[in-house]
Amino acid sequence: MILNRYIAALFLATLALGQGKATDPAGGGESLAGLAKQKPNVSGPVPRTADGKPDLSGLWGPDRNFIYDISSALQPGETLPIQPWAAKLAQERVSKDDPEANCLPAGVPRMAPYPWKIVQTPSLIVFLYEGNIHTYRQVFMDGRAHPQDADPTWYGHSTGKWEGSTLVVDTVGFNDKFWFDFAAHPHTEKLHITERYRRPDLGRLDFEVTIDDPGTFTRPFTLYGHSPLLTNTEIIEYICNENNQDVSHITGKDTRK
Amino acid sequence: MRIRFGLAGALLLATIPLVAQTASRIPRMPDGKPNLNGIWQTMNTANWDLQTHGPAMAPVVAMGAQAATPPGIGVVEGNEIPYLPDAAKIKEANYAKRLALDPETKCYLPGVPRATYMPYPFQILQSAQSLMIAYEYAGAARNINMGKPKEPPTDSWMGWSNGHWEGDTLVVDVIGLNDSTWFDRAGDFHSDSLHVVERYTPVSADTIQYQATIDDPKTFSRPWKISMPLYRHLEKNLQLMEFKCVEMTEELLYGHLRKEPRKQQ
Amino acid sequence: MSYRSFAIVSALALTVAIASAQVPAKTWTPSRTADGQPDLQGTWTNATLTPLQRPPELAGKEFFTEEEQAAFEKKRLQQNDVESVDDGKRGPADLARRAYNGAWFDRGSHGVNTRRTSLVVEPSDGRIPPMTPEGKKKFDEAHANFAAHPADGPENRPLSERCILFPNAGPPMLPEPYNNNYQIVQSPGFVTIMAEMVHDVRVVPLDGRPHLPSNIRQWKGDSRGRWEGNTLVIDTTNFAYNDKSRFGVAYDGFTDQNLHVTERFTRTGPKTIIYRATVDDPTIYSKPWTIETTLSKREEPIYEYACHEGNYGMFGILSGERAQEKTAAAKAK
Repeated sequence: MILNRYIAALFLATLALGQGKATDPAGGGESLAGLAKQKPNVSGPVPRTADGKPDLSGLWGPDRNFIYDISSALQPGETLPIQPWAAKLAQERVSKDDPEANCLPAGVPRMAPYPWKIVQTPSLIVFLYEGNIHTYRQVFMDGRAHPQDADPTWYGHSTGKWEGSTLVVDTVGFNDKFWFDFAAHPHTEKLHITERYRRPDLGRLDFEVTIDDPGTFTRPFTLYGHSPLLTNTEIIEYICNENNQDVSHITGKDTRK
Repeated sequence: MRIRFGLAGALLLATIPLVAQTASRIPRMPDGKPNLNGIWQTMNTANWDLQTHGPAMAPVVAMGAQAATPPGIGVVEGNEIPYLPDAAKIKEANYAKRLALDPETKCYLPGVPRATYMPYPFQILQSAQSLMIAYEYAGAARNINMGKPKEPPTDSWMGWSNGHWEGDTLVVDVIGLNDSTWFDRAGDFHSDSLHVVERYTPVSADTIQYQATIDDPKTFSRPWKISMPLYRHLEKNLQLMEFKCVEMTEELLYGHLRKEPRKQQ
Repeated sequence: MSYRSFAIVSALALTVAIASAQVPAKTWTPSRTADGQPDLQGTWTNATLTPLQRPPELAGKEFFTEEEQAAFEKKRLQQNDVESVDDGKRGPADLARRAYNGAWFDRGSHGVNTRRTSLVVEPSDGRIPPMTPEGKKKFDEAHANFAAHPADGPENRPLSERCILFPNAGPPMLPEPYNNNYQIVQSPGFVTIMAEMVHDVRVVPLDGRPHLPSNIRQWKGDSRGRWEGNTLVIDTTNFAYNDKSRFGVAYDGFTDQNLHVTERFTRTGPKTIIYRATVDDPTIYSKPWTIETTLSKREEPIYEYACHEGNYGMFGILSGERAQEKTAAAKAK
């Protein structure tokens, strides 16, 4: 039957694709170059907006290093320049108290393992997050300054500008409530974050996040990340506090501590 | 004279306490602690009903006497399970629908202490640094932490066990149990506040006296205890076999989602 | 300095030099259990980025240099993220694959610390040997069957989706996307290996007793162990078989009930066990093949993986397939 043959062909095609794909841990021995050929065509020229800037708009995947432990987003060999009080607090914190686990914001630059979207206009760039909570960040591109003495918030106040092909986002006005990662790294309201976004290719977003918080770290430091472009999918509505099954099962300390 | 000496000797032997004689027969690890290694099993009907119970028909007529509830003397000290009033109603409701609701029917993990008295063998694997219990039923397994007590990072079906020795008794403190298991097939249940303390006391080379204290203030008005002997399997070359009962429950759980209904046996 | 003291100094220097020269290269001696066996106990992981088979462009290259390994790891990590991209095809295996992106995996960020380019070490080309004609036939039939009946019922799904067996329990114990954790306990007369997924415990007798009768088949097979010097050798037979294979349908390494696995565990350092497993299935493969990976020590405990108790996936897969059939049938009208 046509349907069966179609399914069979699809299956065998995906079987072939399966060699070396993410869920086949073994890799299958497909040539790495061959794998690149099999990937969908998300390489190509970077789209540009009418005013000639790179267009960062798109649906992007998460970067694992911004989920579990931001230390893994440092350059190889670097360690997190964290002050003793903060390292101690990170050790003592228990996952059930993580605001993220309780459907409160993850803040910046923490990611959840879900897609996120950039919508770029000349005067405003918006980041839309599927999770951990269904929310957004605004990056004001209209030249405005940060408010003096802003109310501290979970996502802060962000202004952005272009430096050549790089979007530079400057954010202050954070509260001290969110945790940087599952590893529970803390911060203070002195936190000042500079993000630099580049789109070297149609399918790839590179970013550098410089964390400057003299209340928590001994010096500013930079985290490096990237997100792949996602196609043929969309942000799904994710209402975290509607069915939060996990947090009641987190009874104690992370055993890595 | 010889006879008098022999009599004196016999009298002397008779006065050595039985406990000391027993204790000297218990196998021991190099550090002197009892060696609980071996394959063990209970011989009672606690898995049907912790309390003393009479026989009852099988829920499936075709199974006749094979699946009838056998009678049995209970294992609860005082034969009373002190349910709080609301909890007692839940137990009744459980009992009325026990075949459908019992997690055992779906081959779900049995929790503690039920794993101990299910009608299948289990093996204690004890070394200087580790103590693991492997149960034949559903491949359930527990690690007993014999070092500094730790708290459970998450809850689980088989709980989180911290153990230590009190003389020759292995005391295992079990917390972090979820609320999804039953104590028996009769609908005896608990909440996620369950706290179980087990005591394994070898009383001979081939018998351990097992006691479990059940403490769950959301379900029971006071802690209560069960106790029973664990008997060592003496068969040569006995091994736990693989009882992955998941396969045996797939029709029950997913049969209604099949493309074609399964042909009736 | 007087001649005498110079001589003494020289003699001392010479003694020191000779002593240094005579110190043997440091080899690691394992500590022993009470039974005198090398101690393998503790929690271990075999998470790795190293692929099962050597990629064709690395033919002939058995080991990476340190720089090459670092570059390979970086590329693999990036690849794992990108591979979650939807390629627009919606085959049954593909759907499950795209449910995960790199954030959900825990393969670590390293290849094996021996810097091998593949887990397969025999044959020396790092690739699984060709199948026999009968093996190829069985493989093709199994895959055609899966393609034709991807989800008629639970038995059509791979063993892992049914929560019966995962490839990292094996044997052989193959690294998986996550939960690659094991605990080893050595008690008198037994070595016990608990695989976190799915709390699979193999209690391996060391007393030389025979295997179970050949008509008894188990998903983990039936294991018997012995020590050869400092290496624990575990021999496993009596495997159960269904045509979904113990490695999952889409994986390499198809086997049937004639599988015979020989594992070798050698502890080479405080944090390392070298694990080798030979897959010998004469009906499927023209010759046996061997993988080697490293088990690295962990300080964390094993977590409970209550797979079946939370298997919402199976409900989703079967009811989703029924819904798609209904839609297809309605369209056909």
